Amino acid sequence: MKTNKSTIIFSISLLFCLSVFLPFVYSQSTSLKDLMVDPELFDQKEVRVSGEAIGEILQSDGGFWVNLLSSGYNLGIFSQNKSDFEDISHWGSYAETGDQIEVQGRFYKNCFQHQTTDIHMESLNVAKPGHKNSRVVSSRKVKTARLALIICFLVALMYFLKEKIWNKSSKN
Amino acid sequence: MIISPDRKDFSTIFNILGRLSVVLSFFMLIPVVVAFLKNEFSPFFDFLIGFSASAILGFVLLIVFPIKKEVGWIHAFFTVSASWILFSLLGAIPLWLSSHFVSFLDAWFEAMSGFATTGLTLIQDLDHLSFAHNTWRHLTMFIGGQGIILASLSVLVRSRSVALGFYVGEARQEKILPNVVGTAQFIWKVSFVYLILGVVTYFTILFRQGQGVEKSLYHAFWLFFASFDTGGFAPQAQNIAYYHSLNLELATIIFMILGAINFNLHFWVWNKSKKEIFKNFEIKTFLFTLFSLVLILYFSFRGLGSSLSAFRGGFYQLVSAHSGCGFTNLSQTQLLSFPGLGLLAVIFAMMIGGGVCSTTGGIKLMRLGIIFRTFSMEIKRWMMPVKAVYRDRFHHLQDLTLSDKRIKEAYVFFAFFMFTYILGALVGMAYGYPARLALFESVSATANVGLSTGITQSSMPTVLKLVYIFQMWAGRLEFIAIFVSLGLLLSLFKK
Repeated sequence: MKTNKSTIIFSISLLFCLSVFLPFVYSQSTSLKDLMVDPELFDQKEVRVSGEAIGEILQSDGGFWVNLLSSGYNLGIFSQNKSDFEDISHWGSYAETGDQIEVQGRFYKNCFQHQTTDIHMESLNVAKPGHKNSRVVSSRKVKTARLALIICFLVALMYFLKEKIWNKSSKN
Repeated sequence: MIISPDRKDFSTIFNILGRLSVVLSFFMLIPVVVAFLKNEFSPFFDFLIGFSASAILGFVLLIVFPIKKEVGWIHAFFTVSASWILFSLLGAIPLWLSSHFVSFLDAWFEAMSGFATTGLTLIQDLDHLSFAHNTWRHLTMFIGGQGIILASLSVLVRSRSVALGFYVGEARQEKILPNVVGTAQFIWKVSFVYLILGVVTYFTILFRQGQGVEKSLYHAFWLFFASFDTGGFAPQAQNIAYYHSLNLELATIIFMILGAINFNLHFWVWNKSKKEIFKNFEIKTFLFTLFSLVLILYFSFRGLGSSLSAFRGGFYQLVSAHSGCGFTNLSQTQLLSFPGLGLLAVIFAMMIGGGVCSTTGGIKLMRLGIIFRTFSMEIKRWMMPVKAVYRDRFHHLQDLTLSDKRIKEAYVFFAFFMFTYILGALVGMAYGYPARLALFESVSATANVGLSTGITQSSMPTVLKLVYIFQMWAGRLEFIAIFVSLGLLLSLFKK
């Protein structure tokens, strides 16, 4: 009797563990590359991806979109609420490196609602905040530009002087 | 007798190239202003260097090589061929300085792709590119699409017959007005009106999506240049898929098709008869080929689970390919997952292209239509009495006879394009790429489309990059100006 009881408790615990952790088998941080290269494998499954938030929040198709970039691969993340993306403060562009975000949601190879490949987001957290890019202009570039402008001015002057002299001599 | 150029001819050619180089330098001041407005300091200096290099070269050529002969057709053909190489090399300087390209060759590839309105890209990390560099990438398509020479024509050339040489050299067979300069000015007027329409449309869509006013305006300009000039570059790595907007996709379809229509037809519809659009031979051929290919696409996707999303992507690729634009709302992996028949339909659409005297590349609708007609004409001939004389007719602005000259011209261009498509595919296959992908990429480069299955990337072989650069150049100029120039150069050795 005692053995039966412990077996039941063990089985219930096992079932609980499986029901809680099984959906996360695929959500053990899948790379965007894996998703995009082999979308069949992950179609309509729970996934967790991370990458840089690019651009801005875009409103379309009855919801909001954020584009994710990781190792040269991009994917759109969809959510019905704009507030789901409010934690993102830096967006990838020339001026900024976007926040590194982790998104959990369902991946669709061919989303019936949006006719595209996307992830319908369930949760988001900022793994690493982005920052403003401090782009330093190399002094070599500045010097080259200055020198090139001076030469350009001199050559243009030479041309216009030559034209003037040529025109004068042809008139005479 | 073949005309062989002498030193005086080359002096004249270099002089014209010098003038064009100075014109290009002024175009580079636009991204300089953008960089200044957006506080992009490094790009500001990139474009100052690009501007100075173009201007220095231009003025040096003008000083060293005076015009020693009256400008003639030989000079026009040579100048047109060389100007695309010169412009792409000079245009590559600021791109290369951006540090978004692995090598200068990659930057040259990008610049040629822009000027030839192709849209194939080798850029790294596009999502972090500056506004100034993005402006330049898209501006190259506008300059190339509208015609570098055409842009300078009104200012530089006084002789009407020579202007026609430049015009023909730039692969525009049909004059709209008796005067070529008038034709050039009309094309610019039309483009300006569509520019306003396009920018307002795109701006409205993007602004409503949540992009700020300034960014929406920049993106609207860039997308217009890329769609109306059938270029296909986009400011983000995902291309049109970045925006997730069906409205934007529909708007780009309209402007891609407008860009692919013969400018002559624009003129007739604007100034003469709106009914022409329903009677025109090129439009009829376009509708026939488009719906045939849509049908093929439908059958290729039939039976697949999510046909709606596949068809949205498929139809967009097809219109984009047919217009020679190269915009895409799919990733390369999605394009690769197309059924074989579907991918073939896209390849056929790319091969055909749009109207003559438009910004598209490819065989062109008029020539394909004529080839179709010759088939039916031959069949009819066999059904007639032996001595019967029969000539088919078609309507393009006026009723025209299907003359032997027109048929010959159509077949010659058809052969040139097919040969180049196959040649590029063979080089791709020699490097180990699968046949259908190598053919896809080769056709995309030659017909100046810009769709890619992933072969075009910075890690591809250098020879293949050079082959695609040649294909983009030859396809944009439709071979004749290049072959004449090469022939004249070869004649130097025979002297």
